[in-house]
Amino acid sequence: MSLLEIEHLTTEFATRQGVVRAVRDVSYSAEAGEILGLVGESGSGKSVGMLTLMGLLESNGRVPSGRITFDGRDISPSGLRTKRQRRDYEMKMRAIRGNEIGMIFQDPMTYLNPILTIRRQMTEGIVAHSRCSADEAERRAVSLMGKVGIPSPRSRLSQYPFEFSGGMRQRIIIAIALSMSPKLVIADEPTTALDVTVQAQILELIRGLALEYGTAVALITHDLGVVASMCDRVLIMYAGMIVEEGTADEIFYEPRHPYTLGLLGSINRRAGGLGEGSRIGGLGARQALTPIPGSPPDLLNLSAGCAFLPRCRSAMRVCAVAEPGVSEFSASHRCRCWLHDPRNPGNMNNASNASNPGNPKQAKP
Amino acid sequence: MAEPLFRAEGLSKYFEMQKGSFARKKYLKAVDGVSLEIDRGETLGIVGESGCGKTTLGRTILQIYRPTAGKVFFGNMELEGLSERQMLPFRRKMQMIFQDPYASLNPRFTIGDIVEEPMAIHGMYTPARRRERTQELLSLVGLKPDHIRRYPHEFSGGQRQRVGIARTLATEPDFIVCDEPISALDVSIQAQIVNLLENIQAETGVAYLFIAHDLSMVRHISHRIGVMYLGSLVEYGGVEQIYGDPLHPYTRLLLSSEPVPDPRLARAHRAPPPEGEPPSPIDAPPGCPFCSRCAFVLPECAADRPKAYAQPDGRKVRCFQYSARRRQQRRAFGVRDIADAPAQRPHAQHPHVQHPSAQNSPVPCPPAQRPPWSPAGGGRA
Repeated sequence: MSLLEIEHLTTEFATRQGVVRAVRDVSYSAEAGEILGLVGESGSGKSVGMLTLMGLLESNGRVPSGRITFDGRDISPSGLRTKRQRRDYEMKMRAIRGNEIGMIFQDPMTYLNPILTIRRQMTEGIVAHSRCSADEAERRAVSLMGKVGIPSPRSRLSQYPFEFSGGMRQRIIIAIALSMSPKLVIADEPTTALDVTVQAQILELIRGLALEYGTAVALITHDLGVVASMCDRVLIMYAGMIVEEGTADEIFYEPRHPYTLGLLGSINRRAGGLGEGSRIGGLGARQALTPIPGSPPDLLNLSAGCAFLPRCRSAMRVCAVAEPGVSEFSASHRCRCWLHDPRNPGNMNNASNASNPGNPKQAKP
Repeated sequence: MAEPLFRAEGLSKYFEMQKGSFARKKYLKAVDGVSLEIDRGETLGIVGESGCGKTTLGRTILQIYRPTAGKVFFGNMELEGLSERQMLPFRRKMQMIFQDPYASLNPRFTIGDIVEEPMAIHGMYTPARRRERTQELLSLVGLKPDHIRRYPHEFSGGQRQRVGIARTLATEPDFIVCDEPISALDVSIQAQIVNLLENIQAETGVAYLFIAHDLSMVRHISHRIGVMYLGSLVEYGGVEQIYGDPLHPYTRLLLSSEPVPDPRLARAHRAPPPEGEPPSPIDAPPGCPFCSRCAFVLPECAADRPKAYAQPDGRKVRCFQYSARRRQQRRAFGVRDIADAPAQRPHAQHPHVQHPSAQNSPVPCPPAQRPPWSPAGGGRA
């Protein structure tokens, strides 16, 4: 039994221009203690999926289908018809939010209330969830701030957010998210607003805390470098769907979906720091980037078939007709693409080649 | 040697920060003594953390901000002291691509107006020829010529950035300052824009000053790199020199912090994260601005600001560890790298407090053992 199981989740928004399906038939699970990466471009549905899970959708959001099970309990936001059902759901989520599921948001500059002291913001959740005294909550807040690496926490409790740097604010947010020792932490682009040296500190902190407490972390990001250094498993999302799912190694070394390949081709993989070609390896020539042509689709006017079709280099006729099904490569590696469908005659995973999946060369006669 | 296209010498830009009329004037040294040069057809990448003065440097170079001190030469012409009118022909040759494609295009102008405006300002061509040229520019950047009548809101971020590039190219500049041109875009679109910039450079021989905080993209596009920290260039040299063998302690810190998009390498190089954050640039204390975070601090670091020392391989490093004297000492002891010398004093010390051991051993000793804090992965076998 996984900590979190999501099955066939769909989220829609009613807008003036029509219905936008931001999350389409998404299924995945997260185990305790695992760092799960959700990767995708803006508008791919990675944040909306998480907000749906937390029950924090805007008033125009609807969840027509889907089942969410968290720690053995059903917390599906779908099928809430009566007022009473909605109220029960909200009460249930209130006990879970900030308690069993913590959230770390992207922008440390806007998440904290500028006119409340850090003491007030740190202890609010602790008091609400554990009904302890203010003194007890303050003691816990101080120990949490020490744990996330804020120097002299006691004296900083009475300060206001503007007296903290971006990295320190993000540490406060992490401390708040962890204050009730949650089983799952959702980190929505936790380091996008930070500088690289501070990013490294924050990522190390999240990784260390996940290890120490056995907390599962859902890390939403668009930075493949962050994914490679943090995540155990990765979900690649495009236009509201999970197009590929696998361990970090499977995604980076055996990518199957053309979109994943495109993402990896869009970055300089000999990148940044002490990577290949730096100190260790030889200095290769500059590699050309192979970007994905076109731009992400408009979710209002999705055509039939695969949403990636207009940008895909290996599109076939069937791609315009029907949405691809899920093909499995290993227990952890799945992908949604017609190229890998068993019915595709050019597919290297056909029954005749089943003994040797993963090597396209061998599939050709 | 031929004159470089563009040269800056000791360029500085201070902003006055005043609190009350009687308070002592404080200065924010956004750019402090930066010297650089850019050749035709070359890309100089500027990297650094937010607040280090990258954007101010770009704007001071283009004389959008008038420099507090220092000289700027375009070709062999000095730009200091020119009136706005005298600047006009130079403005035509020096252009800028802005970071935010949503804020940098006037929403009430059509795409055609946006691209045509700079040509009209500089009195280039006849109106009919300008229209034609606008359409040529749009197809050059990968848009359709009939987009000319549309408005910015009809385009995505990547397409808007293409419009911004077309506008920049309209005056046929020799030199373009690209201020974080890709950081507001999605990953797959970033690569499109970088490729477009590279193709334009190959065709027209334009020079770029490419400002970004994305280290891997800067490595990809640049020929030379300047690493900025609190207003000064701490290391300046060829791209493979700097990425392959960073010298300045800050460059090492910056590069080892960048996550590598390769899980196996990331696991192999899991380094302890760097400590500390940049200090405030307002009224900075004397001495090296990096010395509070530096793992290789010397006694002189807290007292004096290091100069940009030229290295045998041609790059310039603003660090006392790379002064001629220190290099000679290391050579004498057979120490190849500053990370191989034993600790002068512990890392977490306050910069302005002299550690007793620092006075006793101003000279690096022969390598005894590896200090535990030396950057992991920095091993030179």
